[in-house]
Amino acid sequence: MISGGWGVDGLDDVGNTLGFDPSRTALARALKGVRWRRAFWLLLASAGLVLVAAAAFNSSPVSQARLRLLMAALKDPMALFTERSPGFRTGNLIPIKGKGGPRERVLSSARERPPAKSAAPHERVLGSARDRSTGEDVPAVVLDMPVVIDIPPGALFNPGSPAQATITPNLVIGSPFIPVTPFNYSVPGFTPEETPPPLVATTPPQIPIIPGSTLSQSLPPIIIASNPPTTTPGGTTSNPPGTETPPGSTPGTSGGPGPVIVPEPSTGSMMVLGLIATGFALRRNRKPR
Amino acid sequence: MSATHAPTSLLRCLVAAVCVATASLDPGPAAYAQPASMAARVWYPAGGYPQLALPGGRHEPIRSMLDISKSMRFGDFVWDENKVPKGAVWIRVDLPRQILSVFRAGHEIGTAVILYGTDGKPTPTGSFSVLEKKADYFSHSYHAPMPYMLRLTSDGVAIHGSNVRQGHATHGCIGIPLDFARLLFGAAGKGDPVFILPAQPQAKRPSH
Repeated sequence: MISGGWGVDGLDDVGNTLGFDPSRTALARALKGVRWRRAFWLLLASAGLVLVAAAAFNSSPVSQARLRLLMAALKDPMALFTERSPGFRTGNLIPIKGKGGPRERVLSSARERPPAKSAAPHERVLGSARDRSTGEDVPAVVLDMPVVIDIPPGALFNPGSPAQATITPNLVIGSPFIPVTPFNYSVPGFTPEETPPPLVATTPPQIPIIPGSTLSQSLPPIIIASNPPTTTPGGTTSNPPGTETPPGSTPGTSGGPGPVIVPEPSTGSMMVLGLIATGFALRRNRKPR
Repeated sequence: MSATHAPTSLLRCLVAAVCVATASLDPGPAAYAQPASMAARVWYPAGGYPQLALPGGRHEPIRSMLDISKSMRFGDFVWDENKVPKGAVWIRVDLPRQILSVFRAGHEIGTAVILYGTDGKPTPTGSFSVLEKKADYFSHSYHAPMPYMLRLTSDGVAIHGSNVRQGHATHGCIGIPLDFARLLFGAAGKGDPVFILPAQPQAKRPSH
């Protein structure tokens, strides 16, 4: 009967004892479904609160003393210290003074800064560079290198272009030096006033050879471009037809106003893809859900 | 006429609402730094004063304490000496809780968040007394000003005004907010006791 709290069944028992039907009374109907155990505790707590409130608003010394006792019981000094504490110290700490801490930027210290002792520039040379040998101690082994200039006749120019030079190289294969090349300039429709200076071939680089190694190296092909490279409005630089850019050189830098930075196609495509993705995301967020 | 004033009154209402909303937000560290005449206080009943254990085996009765139910932040302090009688002043420095409390005649009149020494240069703990007071002190050892300095030891450990910020530490001194240091400098005198609690509980020595 008591399991789960006192319900209307309890009232039934009381009514049976007293000799009337409690289920028909208005009180029984109103209290139907009420858990009597919970209601009892709630009533008790309310009474306690009323008593505390009465003690708080009562000005009698006894009530005041009781209130103080209550407050003291609730908050002892150590609990108050703990409540207001910012917590225990953790993590790395920065000293506020000394060499390890942040420096104060005071104007007076900057004003009283001593001048530089010497105006001579300091030598900033790496120790490894200073101790590096000049190369005189160990003479480089220079061998006679065969010069291979692989320019097939007619490969460097287009016969249909008007401003082209006919180059007749006279090269000595197998010689370490390239002699003065008697270039024969014959441009159709163009007569030079002065005889162009003869092109002096350069000395091939002297590469030290490690004894025991096999030398099988040839110079890069000499490419002479008669037309300057053209730059399109989009920024791309292209050499004239029939000419090539030697490896290791920046296109468009020979005789041009300055280096032209041309993005890679993959970079450009990734940028375009990113812009498209951003626009798509913004558009998707703007759509009402 | 009322139609022309309608946008103005609406704007005023909006401004007032923003002001109220701003005032209801967290006021920041300066809120604690105001004259705390309205600071709540816990009064302990006469005859039932709690005894506060201090270094050196001393126990001091506490008559009232400042009721600060909120965790203070670095740079915060509370000072309230209203209705507090004159009497002996003593200072309690709680290193583990990073809090300094000033008591006068058993009533707490001020509290602040502190900085203290690092592991390399720890703050000494125990019972001390104020050896020297100097409002404009400049440390030549650290080349730093130490305003409102209360010297505790002969080797330079002192309580002084500092920039109390989280993550900072001193070289053994106890740093307190500058305004609080000024108040403490006026309240404390030479010879007043200062109790510094250890940051970590002392390990018991093995008994053998």
